[in-house]
Amino acid sequence: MPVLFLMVPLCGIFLLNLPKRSIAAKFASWLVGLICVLLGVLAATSQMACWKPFNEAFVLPFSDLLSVDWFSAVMLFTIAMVTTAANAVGFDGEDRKKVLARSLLLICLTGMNGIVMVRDLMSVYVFLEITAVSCFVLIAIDQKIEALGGAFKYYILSGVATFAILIANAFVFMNVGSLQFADIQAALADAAAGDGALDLKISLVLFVIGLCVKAGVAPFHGWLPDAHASAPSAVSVLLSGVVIKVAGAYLILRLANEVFVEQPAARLALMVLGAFSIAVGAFGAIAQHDMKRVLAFSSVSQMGYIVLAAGLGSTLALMGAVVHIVNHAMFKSLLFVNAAAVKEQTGTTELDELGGLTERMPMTGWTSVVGLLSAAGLPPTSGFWSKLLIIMALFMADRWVFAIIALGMSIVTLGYLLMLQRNVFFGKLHAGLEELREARKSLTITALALATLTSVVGLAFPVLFYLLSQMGYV
Amino acid sequence: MAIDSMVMIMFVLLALLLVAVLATVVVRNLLGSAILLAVTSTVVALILFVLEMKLAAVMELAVCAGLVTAIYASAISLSKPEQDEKRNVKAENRAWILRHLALPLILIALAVLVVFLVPQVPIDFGTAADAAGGAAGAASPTVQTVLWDLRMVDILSLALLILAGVLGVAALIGKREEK
Repeated sequence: MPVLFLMVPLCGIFLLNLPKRSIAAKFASWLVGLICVLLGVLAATSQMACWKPFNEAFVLPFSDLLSVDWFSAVMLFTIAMVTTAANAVGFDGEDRKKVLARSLLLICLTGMNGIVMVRDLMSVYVFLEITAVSCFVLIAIDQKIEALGGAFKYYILSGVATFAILIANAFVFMNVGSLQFADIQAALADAAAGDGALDLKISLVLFVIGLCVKAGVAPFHGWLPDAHASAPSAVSVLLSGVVIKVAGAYLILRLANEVFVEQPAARLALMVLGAFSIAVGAFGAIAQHDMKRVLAFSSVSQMGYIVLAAGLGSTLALMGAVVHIVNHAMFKSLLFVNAAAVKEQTGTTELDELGGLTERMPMTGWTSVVGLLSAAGLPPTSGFWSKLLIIMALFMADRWVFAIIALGMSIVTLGYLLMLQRNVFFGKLHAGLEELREARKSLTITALALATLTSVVGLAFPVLFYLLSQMGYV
Repeated sequence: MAIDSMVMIMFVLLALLLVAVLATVVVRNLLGSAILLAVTSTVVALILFVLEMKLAAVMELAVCAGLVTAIYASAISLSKPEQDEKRNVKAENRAWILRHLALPLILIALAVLVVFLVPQVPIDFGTAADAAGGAAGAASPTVQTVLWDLRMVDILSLALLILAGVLGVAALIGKREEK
């Protein structure tokens, strides 16, 4: 059954690139949407017993090299959800470009699905590259000078990450003779008990540095604001919504949970990186004058919370991190969808040229309020609960300094997001925007769906948490 | 202090590699850059050969130095500048030579790949695989076993990576439709 997560999008790419491009262009968005919904349903039901007969009846090639556990299933669902949102935002231009962009969107989706299903460092590397290559092109697809610059920066820093990851893979293979997560964890445990394999530890540090570049964690975040702000709106949704999480945060969490189990130094290093990223992202966002750049810096900060929790590694922290990945995917996709709506209707995302948009774009305005409140971590939205879990886990582990940084920076986050809300959506309507109209339906419906999901998850979370604790997961 | 001759050779090769890589990036002529890239790949192949990774060396030489260079050179030679007629004639001559050079190069590269991939060529994983034990280390697996059994996911994903590259090139530098 895991093979379906790779094969279904591949079939979609095949169908999109059949002759008669005009027909493909007409149905491309529906086809990609359908594939995403299908994958979302598959992910949501993947842990159910109903798939057991199917798995036993159809043993497809390389089924044993892929696996889907609860964490993978959550990530697969998140990937499908955000890709649906990105697809709904859509791409401008001629038919040919639309079809190519959606083909690349499906390749990116396949790459991310692969990352969350493999348990081998080399396979992780190859799927990371697939995701990165499709993202370079998607960022630059409009061929605007800023977008080309953003893609180039991403390309260069991604090259550095690739270098670090490949060197790490070589060292790990030399030491362990395998690149499977379980074998590396066993080798690290032996190293901790004996004299210790220094180069094995160095290689894992290199691997984590590579992943931090991909996740946009400070101080490796140089590419992120430019790439996210200059990319076409659909690609911004995809990048901020899910790519940085799957290519960076997810893998850091997986490594922290399955490889660094007995590595206190590595865990502390991750926590320091996380706290630093929270602060850099939050202060960086204050200084921005563009809506998309504020949201991009906010992503750097939010990634910090996930890395901080991954470093702590307690059950509560890991749960907080996973929930924060899903929450951030929801509210950041929502905010970027609305940024796309603002850009489409006003022609700009510069804060100085916007104001009072809720008056003319009520749906965009009010759904943004939900997203901004969730990003700021205010109850009863979903963002509140994940931040609360992470900060509680830090206090419970007596990590006071990190807890205070996380708490303090969430107040700074609240400050800059409220400022963003006031500058863009509230106050007096900016001169020249009198003729403004609400965004197109595909954008408003996507925003409404994501805002509803953010609110419902927020309201239902206490019940969900109680059920999980009763089942023994927390 | 006597330095091992192999270490000396390795240092020389690494220095050569550095020069070739820098030259590839710095040169402003596309064809020159492609040829220097082939030189880089050849040096990498030599390094791999010195490190006794013969199969990897052959692959590097056949695919990166041969096949890829042939494709680059063909593409460059087929695109001709519009403004200068004399240069067009030169470009056509060059295109003819390269087309006739490219085809044999591609065929040789493919032949090398077929020779190495199709028969059951054993690969010696050395101490690393012995340490790992299990299916990979118990007996030296063939290229086919490695590619189609042990690393099937990677093969599929590499095919996908190439597809991403092709679609990327089509999206960024492909011919635009006329409105």
